[in-house]
Amino acid sequence: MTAIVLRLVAVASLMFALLAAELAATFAFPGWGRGGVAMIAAAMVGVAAFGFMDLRQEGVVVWLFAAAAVLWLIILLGLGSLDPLTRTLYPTVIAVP
Amino acid sequence: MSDAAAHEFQFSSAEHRRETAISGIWLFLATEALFFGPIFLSWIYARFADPNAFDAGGRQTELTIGVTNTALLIASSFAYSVGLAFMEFGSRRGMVLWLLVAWALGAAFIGLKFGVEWRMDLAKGLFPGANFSVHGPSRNGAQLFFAFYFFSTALHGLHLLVGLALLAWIIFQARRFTAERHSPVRVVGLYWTFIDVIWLILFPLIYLIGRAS
Repeated sequence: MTAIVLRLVAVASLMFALLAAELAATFAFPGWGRGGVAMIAAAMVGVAAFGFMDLRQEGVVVWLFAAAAVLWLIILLGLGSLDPLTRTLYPTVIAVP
Repeated sequence: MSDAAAHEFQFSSAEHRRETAISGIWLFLATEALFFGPIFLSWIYARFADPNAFDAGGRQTELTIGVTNTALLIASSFAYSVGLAFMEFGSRRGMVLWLLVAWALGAAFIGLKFGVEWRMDLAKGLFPGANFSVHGPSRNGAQLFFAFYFFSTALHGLHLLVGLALLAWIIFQARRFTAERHSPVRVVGLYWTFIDVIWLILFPLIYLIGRAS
């Protein structure tokens, strides 16, 4: 019991440390930029999934569902962002006199 | 209690029933991830149409409340996990106490978000429409940002309200659960932490990206 609670305290501490790192990447270390913020956010999601949701202890079926969700999101966000991330010319509104 | 008495007829064992329940909630969470996916995609589209104006909208948000709410949800997931651990070791009283803490932290999130932050945003005239208070070249992009902000936080808040109701149900039904039989506690815990996970993605999109260089 104590070992489990200590592990959960460690997970929560790591989450708070990552939250602090997110704020540091935004304000104290501008060099990290938006990419740094996004990577830290992704790390927080991973820590929550493995630390609080105990994904590592689950069976094949659960892993399959979790992996499918990530894959679907990658396809949705990846293909969906191709246009906004690569477009260089946007139509402009021409004022009618 | 014999193994046959510990599970319904459609399961071969109590462990089979537990595995089915956990697999079922993970499948549901996968569909929920896809439900929120297009909302994240809309953020990408809206921001890249006019990044400077969109970020100008993001800088109008209340960062202190956003950070506080993130800390509240992390602490709430921690409290729920500790409560679940108490149940697994047979302490129903410990579970109820920690789940009450998790519920109170979730309720505090709702109170801060909708009772304080939204009220401040509305008072500042940040709801998209004719009375939107940001003027100049950033107006359209900032309105897009706040359309995303109000919609995504309302949807997340709705999920959190469902989570609070489920958590209250678990607390009121606590006497039904034992160290060997507590799948509903685990299932609701997964949903509760998933709401936290969604917020961990929304938080930087709303409060940080617009302020980062």
